[in-house]
Amino acid sequence: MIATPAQLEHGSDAPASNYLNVNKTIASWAFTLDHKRIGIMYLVGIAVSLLLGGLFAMAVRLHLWMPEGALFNEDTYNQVFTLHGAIMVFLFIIPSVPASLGNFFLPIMLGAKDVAFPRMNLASFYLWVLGAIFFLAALLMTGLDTGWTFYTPYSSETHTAPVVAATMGVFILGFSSIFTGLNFVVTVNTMRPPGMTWFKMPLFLWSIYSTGIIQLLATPVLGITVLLLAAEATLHIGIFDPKYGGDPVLFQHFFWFYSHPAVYIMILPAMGVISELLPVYCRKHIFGYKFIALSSVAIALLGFLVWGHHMFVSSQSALATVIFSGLTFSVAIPSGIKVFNWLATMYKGNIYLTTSMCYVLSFLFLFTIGGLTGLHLGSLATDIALHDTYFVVAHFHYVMMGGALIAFIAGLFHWWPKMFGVMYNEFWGRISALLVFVGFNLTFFPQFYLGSLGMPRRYASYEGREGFPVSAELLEQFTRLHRVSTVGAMVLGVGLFIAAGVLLAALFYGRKAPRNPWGGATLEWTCATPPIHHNFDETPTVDDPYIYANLEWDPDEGGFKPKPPSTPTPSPEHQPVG
Amino acid sequence: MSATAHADEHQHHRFQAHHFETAEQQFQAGKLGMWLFLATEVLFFSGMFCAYAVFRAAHPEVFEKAAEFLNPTLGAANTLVLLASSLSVAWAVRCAQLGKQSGLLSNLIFTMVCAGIFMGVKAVEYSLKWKEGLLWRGKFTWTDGAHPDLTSTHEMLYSFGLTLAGIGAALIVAGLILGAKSVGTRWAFFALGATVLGAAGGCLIGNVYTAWEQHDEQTHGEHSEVFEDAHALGLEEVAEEEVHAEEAESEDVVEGQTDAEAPAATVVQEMAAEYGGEGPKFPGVFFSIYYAMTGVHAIHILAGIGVFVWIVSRAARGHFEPNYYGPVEYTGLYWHLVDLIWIYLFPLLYLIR
Amino acid sequence: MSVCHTLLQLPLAGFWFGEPATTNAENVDSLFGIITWICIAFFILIVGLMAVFLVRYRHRDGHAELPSPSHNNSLEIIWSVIPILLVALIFFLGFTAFMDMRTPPADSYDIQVLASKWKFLFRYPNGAESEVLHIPPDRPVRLVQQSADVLHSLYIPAFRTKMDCVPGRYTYQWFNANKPGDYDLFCAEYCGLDHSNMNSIVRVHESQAAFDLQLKKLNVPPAYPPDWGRELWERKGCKQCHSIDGSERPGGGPSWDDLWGTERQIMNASPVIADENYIKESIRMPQAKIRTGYQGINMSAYPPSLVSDAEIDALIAFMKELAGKYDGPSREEAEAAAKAAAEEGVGADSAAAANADATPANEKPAAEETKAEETTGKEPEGTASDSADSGDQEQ
Repeated sequence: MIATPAQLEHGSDAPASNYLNVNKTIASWAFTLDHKRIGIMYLVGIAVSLLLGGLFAMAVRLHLWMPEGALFNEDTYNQVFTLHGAIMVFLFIIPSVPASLGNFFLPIMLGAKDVAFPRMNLASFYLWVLGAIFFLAALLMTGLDTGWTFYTPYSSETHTAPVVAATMGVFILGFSSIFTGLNFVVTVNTMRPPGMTWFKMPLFLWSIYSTGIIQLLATPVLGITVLLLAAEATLHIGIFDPKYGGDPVLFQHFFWFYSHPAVYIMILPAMGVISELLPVYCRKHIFGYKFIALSSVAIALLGFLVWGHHMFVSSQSALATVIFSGLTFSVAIPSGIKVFNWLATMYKGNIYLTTSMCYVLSFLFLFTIGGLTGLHLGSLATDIALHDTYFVVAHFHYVMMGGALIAFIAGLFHWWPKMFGVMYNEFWGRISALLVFVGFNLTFFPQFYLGSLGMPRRYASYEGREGFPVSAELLEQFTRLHRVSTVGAMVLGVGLFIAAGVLLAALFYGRKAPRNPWGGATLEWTCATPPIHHNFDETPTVDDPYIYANLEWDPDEGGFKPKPPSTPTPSPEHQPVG
Repeated sequence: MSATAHADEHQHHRFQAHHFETAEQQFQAGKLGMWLFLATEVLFFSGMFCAYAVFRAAHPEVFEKAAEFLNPTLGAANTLVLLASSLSVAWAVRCAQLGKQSGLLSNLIFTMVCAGIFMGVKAVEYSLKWKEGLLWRGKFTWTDGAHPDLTSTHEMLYSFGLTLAGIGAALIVAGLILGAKSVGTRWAFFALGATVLGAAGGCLIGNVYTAWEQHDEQTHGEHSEVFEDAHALGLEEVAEEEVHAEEAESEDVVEGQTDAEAPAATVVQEMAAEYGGEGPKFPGVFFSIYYAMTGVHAIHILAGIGVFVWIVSRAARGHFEPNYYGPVEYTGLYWHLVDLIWIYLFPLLYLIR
Repeated sequence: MSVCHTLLQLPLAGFWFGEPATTNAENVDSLFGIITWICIAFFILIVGLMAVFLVRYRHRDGHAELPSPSHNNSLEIIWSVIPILLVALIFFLGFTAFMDMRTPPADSYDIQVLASKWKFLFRYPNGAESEVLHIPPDRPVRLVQQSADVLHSLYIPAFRTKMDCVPGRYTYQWFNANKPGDYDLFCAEYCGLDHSNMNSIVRVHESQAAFDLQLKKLNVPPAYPPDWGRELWERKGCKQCHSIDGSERPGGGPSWDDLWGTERQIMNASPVIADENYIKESIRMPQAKIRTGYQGINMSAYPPSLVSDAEIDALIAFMKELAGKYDGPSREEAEAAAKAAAEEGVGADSAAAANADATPANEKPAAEETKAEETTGKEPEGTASDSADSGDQEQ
């Protein structure tokens, strides 16, 4: 990245006004059209959701300490795991990276002043708030016990009011998600700066772009599905409920047509974050740029063809089952390509073990396990045995939490100095990464074993019922493994609290951040820290975003700065593909 | 936004947002955004089309017979109305491009009148079906040989149409009073008033037509025959067939041994009687889908009317000119999609028999 | 599967899964072993490389990044094609094993499964019912599954098999259990309040004869009608909502302890006495008369296929006994009569007569009993089931 003369001139002097202090009234936040402020507001909302969902997760884990259930009765437990799943999926993971980090950095990485439709962006946030209120209403009404999947006919005959509240919440959150995705796709398509061809875009933008496409094409189907479900529960329209002539398996098809691509809405942005962070901390050009970029698009498209793999035992036809299994394996390939390219990026690098990099390495470890155990579930015969057991629970937590959440945290640590202009404590940051890594594996690895032994999902107790006890051998193993998992969850919880504490403490006690603390070469590191209201005073020109040879360490500032223009051009090996 | 942002932008069009480099970029962004939004709309409806296909494939006879309860004349009239509105909205875009202010306004208002007529006719259809008990599955109460007396509904629709006409006229008067100072407000009221008048017209004409049709058929005695025929064939037999089909399936499945199957088969019968095979109730699923699809479509029409009010108001203030007409074009695109969906709904629901 | 496969899965699948108890389970285990080995290989490769790079290229004094290419098409092709081949292999193995699991042999023995909230009821070809799944050994068994209310899923971990029970349609699964013993059975599809208590036991019998004997035992209801009623109360699901000790079940119906013969307050109607007609109506058409205070609790109807008339009589006898108003034959009398009938080996008439006192209009179980008795009466123990089968086919 060649800095413009204006940027050089500015040097490290923080501008007098930035997006945070340009206007401090509450109204200036509530009605802001600034993508950065909207991103921050999203971040707050997402963090609250994560806290809420996390508390429910802790409750679930503590409850399962005893075979008969330690804390709640069955009814309450069913509501607790439903709320854990629904909040984590709809309120936390789906908006996590795109709506907070994406909102904040997508326009800056494009050298743009804002996203294409700032009002729609704000509407997206308020729709998210409205959806969250509906969820809160469902929570307060009590009785939402359908599981986050809302499978019919159970969902259409259990307590109607909370189900309708929650499905309307999902419907509204769907629109929030569509607005965000639409905004990003249009922004990337029409607002790239001069010189930024498609293959010179940062990979984060590629992944956000692919995510936007999925959000646009999948979410409306979820919208109509939950609308019909709400009508089924209240009016009995007979489309999903067999009691009125409907087809419950049709609901599953509709639901997974969205919810499987939604898995990629969750993981693709996380992959983008990793693709962005890894080269910075390895000081190497990303390996196989084009393959990583195109694999995002491939995952987005293939992701639409595999929804049936959630239904191998749902009585869909054997032919459909076989086809879906085959297609499912095809998604494994682009994900594998990404992992190998990330590894190759580390080769001959100069690896800085910052907090972010610790989280990135955790991601690689955990995502590899999550991805590989997907093979057991994609393969038909083994999935019949493992479906709806804790094996599945462990698998998707490794991918969703070990993938999406860990990458989200990595991204937060990476971009925190840019967002708020403060540096955090690296020591405690690394401690948190270690605790999260250990706690995570302790929590979820035993669940693979638990699931293959036969422990089904969504069980409030595992000792069996009166007259039909679970065999002593299984009971003993279940108990042991559940307890290991619960201990792990506590460690994980402590790790996450420390991570949050480190970030929050930085806001109050952190030293001032330099313009470019990590030596990143994407555009956000050339704008002020924190960015000014309009991001850039003049539209920057761009080149390959992964060449680090033009940056040098500046001990005075404690960050990286562009080398003087006399620097010779980088060696040919650094030339990007394309 | 802030003053500094606009300091160097005096050469920009007054409606160009600060974050776009050029007006062209803004136009292209808006257009792409609208196309993507339309894609989501298509997918939104595709869920219901999919449900339609699944249930039609499972029960073709029910769907064919149930469709006879819909009135193709009203459907065709609404199709023509929407086609005309599509033409006028395209014309409106053209006028905006050419800077013809009066053409733009009149075409937009004509489009809105068409939207009003459509909703008026739809109100007639819904009201009559409500009275006859042709509702969604949970409320489907149409019974064998019943010929509910529709006179009260026709009377209700008649007064409803007149009320609408009154409201429309009141809106126009309100426009004259409230919009005395603002040309935008005035025309917004005019447009809304015209739309409500259109709805009144649609309601009254549809009402008169259906009343006449009913009277006509009653005198000729054809109507009831069709209905009974439809009922006898389409509803009861189909229900029975279903039970048979399920029985056949169960036998197919449990071939080779009958002793255990005997109780199982009775369970299936019981379940069929209790659930799917509840005789004449099954067409309820057709009407569930009918109400879901046309209802969601009607909501889109209403949303379109809302957007058109805003567009008319801006057009009246002279916001649109040959180098800035994006909003008219985007709304036009949206309106074409709403028409297009109806073009599919009409034959699928009304015509395929 | 080949010896090689067996070697591969030996140290793994046993650890993960526990002992397999069916022929298909062994295939699943060997496939699981193969996949797990592939995963381990890739995991070691990826995490190993990561660790090596981390150590060798970590930032330290005097170390700087070294030039290397930022793309290499041959490498990309290698790490695309090798995984493609491997997943193709996994897909193929999973596909063939799956087709085996989905295709029951033509001579499989069918057992009906009725899933409802929150229990599985198994119905055998001779009409016997049980909550424990009894399985003959070394014989393909097919489960024909239905659900009366919501989705359930019948899952037997030791058999590595599972299939949803979907209301409104039949689903199937089959297995050939080859290791006698008791195994766990779970509901794997979330079905509401007592989902986690919807487990049961699979009993693979030592021999066909033991299995047949079990079926015969299941088919004879207790001779003393209140005992039969209690058994039905436990088995038919009444227990989930109606207590017999006066306590209230959350979301359930009235307790049965003092129900019989008392005056019941009815919603929007005059009170009624809880007599035979009221009880029968409340089972057949629960919504006809709703007791004050229980509106909004929708008990599902039990048609004759789920609870026969004779069974209703037994339930009534049970309610009478609970209220201390039972007036039928005593336990000793009833059992003596049943024993006498069985010993005499007479047909339907006397069997029905034996029960007639306590349970008038006792039709179905009597007929069933007769059939079972006829079967076992004619044939020696070991071949009883063959004759039952041939008898079935004749019908």
